[in-house]
Amino acid sequence: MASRKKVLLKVIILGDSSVGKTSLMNQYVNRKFSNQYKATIGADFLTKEVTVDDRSVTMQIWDTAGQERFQSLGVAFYRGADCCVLVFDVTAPNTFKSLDSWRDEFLVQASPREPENFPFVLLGNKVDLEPRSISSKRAQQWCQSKNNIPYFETSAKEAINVEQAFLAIAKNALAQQNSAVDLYNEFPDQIKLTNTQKPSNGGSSCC
Amino acid sequence: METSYIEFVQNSSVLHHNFQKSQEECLRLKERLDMMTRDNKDLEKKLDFARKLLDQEKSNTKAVERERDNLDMQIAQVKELFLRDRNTRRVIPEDTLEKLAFLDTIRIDNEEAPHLSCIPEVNSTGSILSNFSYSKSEDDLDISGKFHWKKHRPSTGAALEQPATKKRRSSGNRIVEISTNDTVRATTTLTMPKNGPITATSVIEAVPLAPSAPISNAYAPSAPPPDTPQSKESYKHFREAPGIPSDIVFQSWARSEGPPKPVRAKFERVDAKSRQESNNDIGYGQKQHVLQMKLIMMPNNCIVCHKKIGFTKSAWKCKDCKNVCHMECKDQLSTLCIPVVNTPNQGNGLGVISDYTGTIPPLVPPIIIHCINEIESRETKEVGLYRVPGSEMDVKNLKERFLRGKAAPCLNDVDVYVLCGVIKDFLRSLEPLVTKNLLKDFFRAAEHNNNQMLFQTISELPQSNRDTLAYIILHLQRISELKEVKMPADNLAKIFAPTLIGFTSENLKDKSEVITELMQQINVMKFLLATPPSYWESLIHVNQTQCGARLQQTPSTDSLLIRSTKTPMRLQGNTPKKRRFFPTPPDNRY
Repeated sequence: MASRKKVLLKVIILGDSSVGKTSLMNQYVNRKFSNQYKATIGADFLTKEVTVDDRSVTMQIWDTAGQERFQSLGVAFYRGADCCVLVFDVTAPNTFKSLDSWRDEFLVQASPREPENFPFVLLGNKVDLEPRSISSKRAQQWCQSKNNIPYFETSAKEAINVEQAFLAIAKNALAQQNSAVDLYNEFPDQIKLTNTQKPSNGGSSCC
Repeated sequence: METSYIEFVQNSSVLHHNFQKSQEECLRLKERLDMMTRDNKDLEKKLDFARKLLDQEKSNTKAVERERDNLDMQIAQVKELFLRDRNTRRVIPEDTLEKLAFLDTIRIDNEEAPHLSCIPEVNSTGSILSNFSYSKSEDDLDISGKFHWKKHRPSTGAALEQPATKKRRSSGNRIVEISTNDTVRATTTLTMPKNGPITATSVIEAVPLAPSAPISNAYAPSAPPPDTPQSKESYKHFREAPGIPSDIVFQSWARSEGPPKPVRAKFERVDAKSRQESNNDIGYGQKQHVLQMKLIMMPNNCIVCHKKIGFTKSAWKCKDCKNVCHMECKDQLSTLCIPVVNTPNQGNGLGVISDYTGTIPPLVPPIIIHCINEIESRETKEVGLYRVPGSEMDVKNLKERFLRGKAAPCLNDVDVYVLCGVIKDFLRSLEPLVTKNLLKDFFRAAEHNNNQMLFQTISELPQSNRDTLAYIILHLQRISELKEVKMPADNLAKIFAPTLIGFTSENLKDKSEVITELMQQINVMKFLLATPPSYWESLIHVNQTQCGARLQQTPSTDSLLIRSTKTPMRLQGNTPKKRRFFPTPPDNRY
């Protein structure tokens, strides 16, 4: 059913300030890396058309502000997300430590239907930098403890692994959309005869 | 026989009745008498009280009048000096003479009203009483709360109008010397608009003199009249003073809000060079430690050598900032003395800035001063100051240690990002420095890029908010100038805007509304950061010279004021607000 409509995937990028969320998004969408050092205000999004499993998908990538103060605003953007990307800086241990709180925060604010199975993707950014303080083993352990979250080590500057990571993100998000009813679609949907797990008024639970 | 007996009985019963009646009457009258005497006593007490108040008021009036006369004399002397002395007349430029023409009119004004007409001396006792008891109860309210520790402070109440500056001026000052080769040049500028405030600025400079020039000549033409207390004061400075660079500039100014009020004299030394060199000890630079010998019972580190001070060893402890140092380290003691402030509402993070500031201007919380000083003293060039997060745990711990009201923790080996985090976190836990009622004005000023409007609005902020804002902005401006840090004003504005400026309402549901307000905040912040540092410095410096009585009042009145205007919001309770503004990640992080 999803193939009939244009699929829109809403992806949220979360993480501490200055881990490279904006850079990752820019690298992926515009294939550009800027040396500019600018804090993000509130949230911003870019879209990109990709083909996943022979299906054309529009990815709407939301880049949020990592500053603590902006989080009161960020929550407004979490709702209706299909996938959440957690980013940390492999050279900054603090950014890794706060992943837990970011994840919990997202689950609380976005209140997805199946918190356990909601697709997260973890990106360890800035692998081009030395010295590393978070080993990939440690990151993977964390991922395993959180229901096998996929983990990628990326560098927005050198464009290492960025494509692959976002492709995985798209796949995960799509899988999430397929597994559940498309609640966030703005068009009123037909009556579905397929196996739907959720009552049709479940959409109100997210508001 | 029988009839007469009956008559007798009847008579006696009537008599008995009468007797009882009169007894009752007697009792009643007695009671009334008691009541009256009690009333009388009360009234007498009241009368006494009123008399006392009247006396107090009269003495106040006298003091004020004396002050005024004194100042009149000063004005007269200045007038004499400038108008009668031909020599001077030639020296003074035309426009100054024009300004001085107002001297006459002002004198006449004063003669018309020899007594302060605004104090109703012949008013009925009742009204004074009620007036006074009203104000008294207000005082009580003030004192009975968390500010009762200020009660013992001198110079509250009666002598309010007397400028306490004289004492301060002569006591706590650096010592200055003028070598025989120097001359003193004093320039006094009096501005006397018809209705506005009178401003007199006198700049006294020590100027190196060519060895041949006669000293007496250099003194004569433009020095202020030697009789006035002000100039005496300044001369004292010069005579007592050893070892001052000769380019130091002294400045004094007097200000008043109109003729009937006494002119409040203010004195300030401005040393432009040294100020630029040590920007970070603005205000607190002069504060000396108040050292007391103590037996150390709690393990504590010496602030000079950072080594432990042993149990039951004697050591010096500063009464104000609670720092300790070894007996032998005392000579090298140079750390700033920033008095520890007891925070009335420790524990719950929400509050207003004035709860955390001391009573000595500038009213900036010690936690901010310490952190900013430490960051600046390191001359760090780390990328992303204030943007890169510090370790949550460290930030939380350090902040708690600061707010516990003990001596300031040693910051030597604290990560600079943690320091930034503490500052951000502390500010975030308070209400924004820009109060809600002025927020719209700030938005408007930034929108029109109107400096005048901005200054006006800033001046309306409570003092502690204003001082702290100035202190932080000055620091941020310095940070933004460091190229290596990569935090230009733009970036800093984004980060601090929601914290320092705040939103008009906490319940902005609409995303677009939030974004537009954010943009406005950031504009305001950019505007503030673009305001020249000299303005912010003047804010901190002027405040420093305010007289004691006003300073003490400020924190309490401020917080009361804020509380009253914010009641509806505060009533919403802490928990919902906390949740909205500090969602889980930052919650954990402090």
